[in-house]
Amino acid sequence: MPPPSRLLVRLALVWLLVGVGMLMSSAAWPGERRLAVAGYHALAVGWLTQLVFGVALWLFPKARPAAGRWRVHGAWGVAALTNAGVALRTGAELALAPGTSWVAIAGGVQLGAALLFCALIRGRVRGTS
Amino acid sequence: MTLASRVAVRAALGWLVAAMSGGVLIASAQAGAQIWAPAPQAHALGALLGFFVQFALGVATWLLPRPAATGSRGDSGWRLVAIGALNAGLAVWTAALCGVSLPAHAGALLFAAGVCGLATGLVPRIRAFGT
Repeated sequence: MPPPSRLLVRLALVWLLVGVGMLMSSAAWPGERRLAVAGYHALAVGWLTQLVFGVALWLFPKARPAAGRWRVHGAWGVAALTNAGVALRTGAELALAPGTSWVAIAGGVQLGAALLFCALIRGRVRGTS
Repeated sequence: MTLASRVAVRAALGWLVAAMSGGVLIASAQAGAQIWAPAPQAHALGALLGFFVQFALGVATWLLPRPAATGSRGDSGWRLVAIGALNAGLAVWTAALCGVSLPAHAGALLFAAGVCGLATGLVPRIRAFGT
């Protein structure tokens, strides 16, 4: 596995633990809806989406040599943006009042990660011949 | 990658971007911006069904072992129809949740038909490699 994929998969496992912990806590305090919302986002983006990013960057057909070195650095960018976005999203949900602009900013960072991932993987979604 | 896999994975990436864009719009509207935002259920359905489910089915269509007897992954045309039904159904379903006057149940049924069409072609390939 290339190093960015290993980082993405390891961080996905961390978010799995964080998300499950948040959902268990929300079950213990049913009035705390914010814990459940943050937990669902930690699992959906931090765990599942990040795991898909990591495995796809490792498993999909290799980029053609002419694709350039930016793809290697771009994979580190996907990891940085995804985790910054999820951390900001859960932090804004828990520490700040939900409905603040921080949640929208966190969404924008996660959207940036998704767009960068699409740009990286686009040329690798092809036939093996 | 097979043609059906490529189509499914590209469509899944489209749903990923759409769902995340929807999330930004929802959060912006909740923060007070006077903009249109999709229904939160549509945001969740787009991410869960459009991205995760379709991406998994697309990669499975590519990676699962081929039956040794034929060496073929099956009828590609039928798979493309199933992927079309999956995406059309999900588009109708999410649009209905966002207030467009479309039948949500028909969209959900079409989506389910597409998933079943793809999955039934995969079941015979869940076997030990080379058998």
